[in-house]
Amino acid sequence: MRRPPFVLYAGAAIVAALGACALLAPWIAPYPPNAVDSGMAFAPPSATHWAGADGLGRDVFSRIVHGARPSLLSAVGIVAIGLGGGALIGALAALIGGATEQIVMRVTEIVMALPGLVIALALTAALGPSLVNLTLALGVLSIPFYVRLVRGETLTLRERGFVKAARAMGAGPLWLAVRHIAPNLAPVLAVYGTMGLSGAVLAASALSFVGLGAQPPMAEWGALIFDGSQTLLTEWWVAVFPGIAVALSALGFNLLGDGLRDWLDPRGDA
Amino acid sequence: MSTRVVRLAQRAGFSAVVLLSVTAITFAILALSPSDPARLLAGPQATEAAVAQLRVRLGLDQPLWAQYGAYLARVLSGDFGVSVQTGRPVLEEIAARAPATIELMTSALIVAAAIAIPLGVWAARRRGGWPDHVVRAVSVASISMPGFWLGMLLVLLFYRELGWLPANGRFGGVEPGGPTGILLIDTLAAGDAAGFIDALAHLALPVAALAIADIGALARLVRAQTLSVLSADYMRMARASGLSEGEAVRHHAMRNVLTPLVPILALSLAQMLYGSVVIETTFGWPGVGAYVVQAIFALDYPVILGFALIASIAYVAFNLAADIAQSVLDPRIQEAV
Amino acid sequence: MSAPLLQVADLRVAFRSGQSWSHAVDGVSFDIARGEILGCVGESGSGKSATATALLGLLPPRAARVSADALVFDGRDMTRLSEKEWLSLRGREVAFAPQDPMSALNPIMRIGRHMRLIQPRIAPREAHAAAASALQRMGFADPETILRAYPFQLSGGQRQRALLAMALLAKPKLLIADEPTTALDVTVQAQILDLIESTARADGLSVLFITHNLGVAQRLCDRLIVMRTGTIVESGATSEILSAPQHAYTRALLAALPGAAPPRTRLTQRAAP
Repeated sequence: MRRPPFVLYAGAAIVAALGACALLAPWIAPYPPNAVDSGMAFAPPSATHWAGADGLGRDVFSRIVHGARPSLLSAVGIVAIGLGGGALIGALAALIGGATEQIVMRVTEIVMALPGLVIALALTAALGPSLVNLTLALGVLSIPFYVRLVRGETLTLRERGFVKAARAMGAGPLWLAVRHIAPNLAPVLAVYGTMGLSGAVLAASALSFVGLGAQPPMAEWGALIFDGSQTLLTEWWVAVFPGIAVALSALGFNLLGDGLRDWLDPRGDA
Repeated sequence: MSTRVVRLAQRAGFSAVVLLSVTAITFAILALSPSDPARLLAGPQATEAAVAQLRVRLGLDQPLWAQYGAYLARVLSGDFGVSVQTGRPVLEEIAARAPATIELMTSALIVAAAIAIPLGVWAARRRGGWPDHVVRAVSVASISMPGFWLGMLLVLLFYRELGWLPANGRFGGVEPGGPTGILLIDTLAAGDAAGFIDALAHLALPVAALAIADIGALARLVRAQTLSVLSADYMRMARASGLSEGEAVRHHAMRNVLTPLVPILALSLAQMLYGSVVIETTFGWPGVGAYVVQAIFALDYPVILGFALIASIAYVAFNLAADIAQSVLDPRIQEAV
Repeated sequence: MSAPLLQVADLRVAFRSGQSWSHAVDGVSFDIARGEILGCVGESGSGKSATATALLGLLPPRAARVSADALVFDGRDMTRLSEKEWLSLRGREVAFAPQDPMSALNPIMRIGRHMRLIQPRIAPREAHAAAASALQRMGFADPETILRAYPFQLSGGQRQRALLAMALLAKPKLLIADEPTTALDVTVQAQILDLIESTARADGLSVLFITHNLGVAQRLCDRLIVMRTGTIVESGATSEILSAPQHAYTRALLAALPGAAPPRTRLTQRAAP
């Protein structure tokens, strides 16, 4: 196997650091996320409050560290719904074929011709603004993308000897999908899934920023940026530091995805 | 000719199906939403009996499919519902704010293309060299950047620290009226140089924030497309027949690089439709996006869904237009083979 | 007897593969006289195309290295040409006919524009007339239609003839033809070969004709060089090589010909121009 490219290590390091923040937030953050200290309201960054404090005197750094949990969890949820649902539907459609495949692909085509994020926005609003509903909406609307990807790959795999052999021995579509297709698609899905996480972090934080996601007092990055945007010109730190967390995690996932692709498929060049 | 007509007819037919699906989706979302049009219309003081009566009059006691039929009929006649906050028709409210959003989106698309296309071509022509690495780094950074947050950084730098550019709204004073509502065009048409510069200055920061994510994605695509064109046989043939590298790129490569970008640019424009929602909020841009965010906070469902519907129509229209444009630019599609 | 148009002595072409260099052409020497058609025969990977690309000065400078004891074209040392001098040579004195006429034309550009672009210093009207007459010489009865056509509207043979017209537009001294008939069917092949031959005979054009097909080479070429893995294994008059091949590789190539041993009489006719 080739040596993994440098970007893979860089991306993995960033993702690992953010993952550690999410898992170990209470031990890493110097303060509880919602500890109000009115004496410290809008305290600028200092030795005690590294990223300053917000209008209620809550420590911004601690809120960012704790914010890794909902932010990353919703990104993972979006990709899990989209990729999991899309992979299952796409693989089964390709393996069953016939009218089922035709119908699935027509529906996919139609949904992909829609502005997904705008529909997700409306759907979240209708379901009621919350991080869970936002995750559901963004996840469901990303399904068609993965359906198309996985169906295409499955159609290629379907013609390979081992799949044909298994079919000849009477294996059903679900068995084929799980035992033969999934392992062969794992590298491709790992690459697209990782890149999908980057898009999911950005989309979720943007929707949270406009009030559709995490509701106060939950410390979620998009909501933190919205909080800070109210006093941007006077207390810039409240909005700027959470944004770094969003950009850094999107960057980490992108680098990891890029690196994985270069590593697994050195011919690909984009 | 006939293939082209058939192809476009197919595309138009597909667009119609997509639009019909959109109405079904927005209707379903409306049905899912906790809003009760009868209660909204009757007002909070109305009695339960009065609301029930109104519900019958509005057809809300009908089965869902009948309600959908009525909804579809209303949408087709241009009735997208009434804003809960203002009581005015949604279509009117959105139309009033559309020019501001169109101006922002179009400017951002032009800026993104103007930066990304040369970057991508440059990277491809110097493949493996330092420009390639620089462009790759720039594009990864740009697609990882939350645009609304970058917008705030730009405000802090160019408004708060340097004081070079305004950070709020479209215009310094009272917006000059004009036939198009696009300030750059209206001020230019009126010969109002100061107004034009003012409008341009107000555009600068939101456009940068909206364009940033697209620059990276576009530059990558342009680079890949350029690489494949540069290694094409006809490029080798052009060089072998005495064209310099520059001439070969200019005359043979550029159109082959740019033509496939047309549908991609349509997608970018559609992406910006969504991006404008957050960017307009950041910059207090009086467009459709900021209006929708107000509606979200007020849970004004008719406005949110009207926006979703209109955005979808615009999206489908962009894609159809791109298809037509591409069929004009590419002779292989234009004529029967 | 004047000096040959092209003199190649100990030509070497190396391509970078990772850290090392691998030789695609490894010490090749040959001459082409004025008006002569030299066949260069060999399988893919024998170094034919690398030789041709080197003679056009089109090898990528960073990824390929060219060296030669002598590489003299019409009295000029090709190893010392600047890019600007190459530009005045390529297409004007050394022309190229490509292997695959399907992909060698820009799909979204009319033939007329292709031909206009390679005559930048000529007034539009004259350039148009020159292009039309070049097409006519390549057997197009109605050149105006061809000039207005997009490549996809032409057949493979028509495209190759259009490409030949482009190549011969500036009346070059040397035509490098890289398997120009491989992608075409047999009847069209014959037409293209006839066009190349008649132009060579009529205008004193020299041709380096690259092919893997001995049958094609036999029809057209005065002399042959047989290449394998970057070196010349055999060279001489076409008739001699085909009637008494010295090298086992040449015999193998001959045996691979459909219809096996070709009639000798015809070969002798061809060999003496």
